[in-house]
Amino acid sequence: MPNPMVFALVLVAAVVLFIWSAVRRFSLLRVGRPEDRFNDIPARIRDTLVYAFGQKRVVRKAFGFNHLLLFWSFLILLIANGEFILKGLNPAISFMSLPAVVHNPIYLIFDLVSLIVLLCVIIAAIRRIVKPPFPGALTADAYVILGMVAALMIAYFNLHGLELASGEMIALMPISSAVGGLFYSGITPVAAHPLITIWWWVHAIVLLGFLNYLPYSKHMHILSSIPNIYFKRFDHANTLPRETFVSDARFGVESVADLTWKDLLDSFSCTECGRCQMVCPANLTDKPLNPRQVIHDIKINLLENGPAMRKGAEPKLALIGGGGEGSITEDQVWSCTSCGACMEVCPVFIEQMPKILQIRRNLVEAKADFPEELLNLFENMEQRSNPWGIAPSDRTKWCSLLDVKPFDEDCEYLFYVGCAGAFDSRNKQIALAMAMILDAAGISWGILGKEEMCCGDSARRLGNEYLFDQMAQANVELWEQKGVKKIITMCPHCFSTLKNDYRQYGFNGEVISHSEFIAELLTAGTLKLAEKVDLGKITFHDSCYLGRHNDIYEQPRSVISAATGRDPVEMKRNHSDSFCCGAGGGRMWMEEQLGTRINLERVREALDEDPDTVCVACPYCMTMFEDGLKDEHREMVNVRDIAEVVAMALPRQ
Amino acid sequence: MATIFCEKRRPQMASVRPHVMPMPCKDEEATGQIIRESIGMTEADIPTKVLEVIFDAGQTDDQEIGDAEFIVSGGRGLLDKQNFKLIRELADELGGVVGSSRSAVDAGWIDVEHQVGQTGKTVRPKIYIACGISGAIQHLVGMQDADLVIAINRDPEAPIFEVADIGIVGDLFEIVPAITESIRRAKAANGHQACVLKPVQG
Ligand SMILES: Cc1cc2nc3c(=O)[nH]c(=O)nc-3n(C[C@H](O)[C@H](O)[C@H](O)COP(=O)(O)OP(=O)(O)OC[C@H]3O[C@@H](n4cnc5c(N)ncnc54)[C@H](O)[C@@H]3O)c2cc1C
Ligand code: SF4
Ligand code: SF4
Repeated sequence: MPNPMVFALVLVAAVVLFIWSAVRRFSLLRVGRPEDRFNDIPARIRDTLVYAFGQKRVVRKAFGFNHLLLFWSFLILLIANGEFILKGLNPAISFMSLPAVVHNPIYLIFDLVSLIVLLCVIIAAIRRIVKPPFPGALTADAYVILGMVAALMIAYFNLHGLELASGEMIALMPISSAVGGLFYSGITPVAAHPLITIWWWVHAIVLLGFLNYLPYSKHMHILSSIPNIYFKRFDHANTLPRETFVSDARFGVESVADLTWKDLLDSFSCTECGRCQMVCPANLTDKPLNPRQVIHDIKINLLENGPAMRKGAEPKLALIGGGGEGSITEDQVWSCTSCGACMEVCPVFIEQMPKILQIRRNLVEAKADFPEELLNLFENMEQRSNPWGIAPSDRTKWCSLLDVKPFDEDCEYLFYVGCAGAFDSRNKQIALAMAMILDAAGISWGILGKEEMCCGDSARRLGNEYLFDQMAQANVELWEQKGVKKIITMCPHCFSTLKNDYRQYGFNGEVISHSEFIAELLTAGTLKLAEKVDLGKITFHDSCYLGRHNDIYEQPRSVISAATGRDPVEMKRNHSDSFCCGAGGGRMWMEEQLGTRINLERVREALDEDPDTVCVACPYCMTMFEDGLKDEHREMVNVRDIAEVVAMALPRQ
Repeated sequence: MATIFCEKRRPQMASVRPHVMPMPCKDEEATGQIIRESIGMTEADIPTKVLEVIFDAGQTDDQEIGDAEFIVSGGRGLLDKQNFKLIRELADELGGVVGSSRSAVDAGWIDVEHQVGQTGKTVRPKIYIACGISGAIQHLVGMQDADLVIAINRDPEAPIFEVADIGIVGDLFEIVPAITESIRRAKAANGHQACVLKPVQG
């Protein structure tokens, strides 16, 4: 056994060094701006138990069970190592001093758990070679940590094997006994003693080394991810905060100082598991964006610039720029479809997407630097309040043959048609179908007609917050004037913007997507269908702004089932795992020059199911699927919005 | 994008993108004073030097579609790269240039420089002839301000007809060569004078 005095010195040195490293790193969070994540403590504790200790998201991937085992084993071994350290300081302190009925099970558990840990790290090491979680996962950092943990367990078994074989310790430890029997059988206490000391020190050095390596590796997440989960957002991160437009204001994110402390904590918490990049439509179609890399670059940038910035210096390494380690390129920033898939899978609740959109704000508002196609878009939205720049007087053309009532105080619902429904010849069909459905159900509804304005979704996701701000205020003002209390939308982008973003502008009315509304009408029996529509085999595509951003998954499916009498077949990626069509985040208005086409990837996935009809619940998805099917020469596969399917099933008048 | 505020102050400032408005007739009555400022800058003051202007080798048209007075555009209805020949012949006869929908660009039939629409070019020609183009809104926004739109499409329901001044429902493989031919004949009759396209009714 070691000399307690010597160990005490080593221990103090190691702990001081660790605290110094950790404090130095975590104090960099103060570079960030303030953000309130301190509300609702009970709910935060509950979620921490579920997601940190219960590892609920980690185990969503089969291999996550390996991590779950490691995580809990580590917690148990924390006790074993506590005993180890105390015993090193004072040999009298040991679980051995407890009665056998108590200490026997304790040592048995330690022994078995140590074996589990050893097996888990071996499996993890092999997996990284055989089937890496993502390309490039084979890093030295990963192997240093796995090696250290394995060394710790090997030292543990040797140490106790020797103690048991030499009779220094009597306890129920089958694995350690086996090691002792195998290597040290019949060893005398005198011969065992120096070996015990050696293994003891190996164990101690590796343990303290591990502790001091943590803050400098991706395994910093051992320290930061539990707080990161505790401080997570409760709502979906589908909105960004408002900005104030005063002189000298900073817009969006230009350097790490413009991020909040929680954004920076996110960067420290990334486990580099790569799950986000494996679901990211931009990454999967060979665009330069990789959400894991974005988070990693923020961390490297903070480490590089943070210490000097805390003393008031300007950052040396630009956050938006060349794209070397620690900087993010503009191409990365513009590739994001804001689909939210990354945030949905991240086991430690990192919010990648809002950071990307905040960088767009800076590019657009402070630098006027954005893809050229957007110039037209912004002008059109600003001057004519629609993305195509069509005359606002054309807004009612879609219903020129119908008798649609202008919204007034007597209407219960405002049907907010949206720009696609009003102007795009294909999507006008959905607006017509909605009109038929609302009338058939006897709903009291009206439209704003020529007075309707664009919701501004694309402006916000593209970082033109100044424009969005004006549009949102104008809309809310108009609705207040008209007495609008309940709004039905047919576009998930309008829906999410009106429902979530407009809260920030004081709009508190009810906003209902056509998926929810039709589903409710059918369940309540208010809407009666005459016949089942035969559209052959149907597959349904979840749009990001309905599903992941607003948790609406079952309603559109139930609508399809009700109208056709058949449940839609699921594509490989469905519900919250659904794959974006490529149009969100303002990508609808940009040319897709980098990598391959996102819509084609999704269309091929749909075609794998060999459908006759693809059902969508979003006008953007409609365009993306129709275009993609034509590109794949599969025009015979129809694309239908759920409202169209229902309209076909209505009784004929 | 520049957002310039001069709500209450003078001077005011304005600029326009090319082709967003028709060129108005010259108004002799208009008053106002144009002050030409000489800035006193010589070429030596400009750090950037233009060494040589190199034209895109792939572009056979002398004109950019953005400035063209006649544009003949082809879409997916052309079915094949080879068939763009029909479009080019007609354009040549008219002294115009070739445009296209995005689908034709995506299919690799023609260079992206020719793409008309939302993410392509906005054009404002005197005559725009759309052949085998369905008229998706993404295309329409790029060409709807043409003075005269002629659409050739075999689908009478195609949305392109909503913006067309003259619509020809039929097979472009018959109609386009027929138009080209009739222009040739007209030109021959007129002794190769500049041709004025007469509306063709279908
Ligand atoms: C982000 C984004 C940006 C886009 N930007 C643009 C853009 O800038 N410009 C653009 O054009 N599109 C753009 N699109 C694509 C747009 O949505 C349409 O897919 C595209 O315009 C369709 O091209 P098309 O009309 O050639 O093909 P289709 O829609 O397939 O139409 C082909 C037409 O040809 C007709 N046809 C077929 N055979 C014949 C024949 N023998 N004779 C006569 N007619 C025939 C058919 O009836 C049909 O109407 C964009 C899409 C997205 C998602
Ligand atoms: S929001 Fe979607 S596109 Fe953007 S980084 Fe995340 S996964 Fe990728
Ligand atoms: S951001 Fe989250 S999902 Fe992506 S690699 Fe890091 S921990 Fe994994």
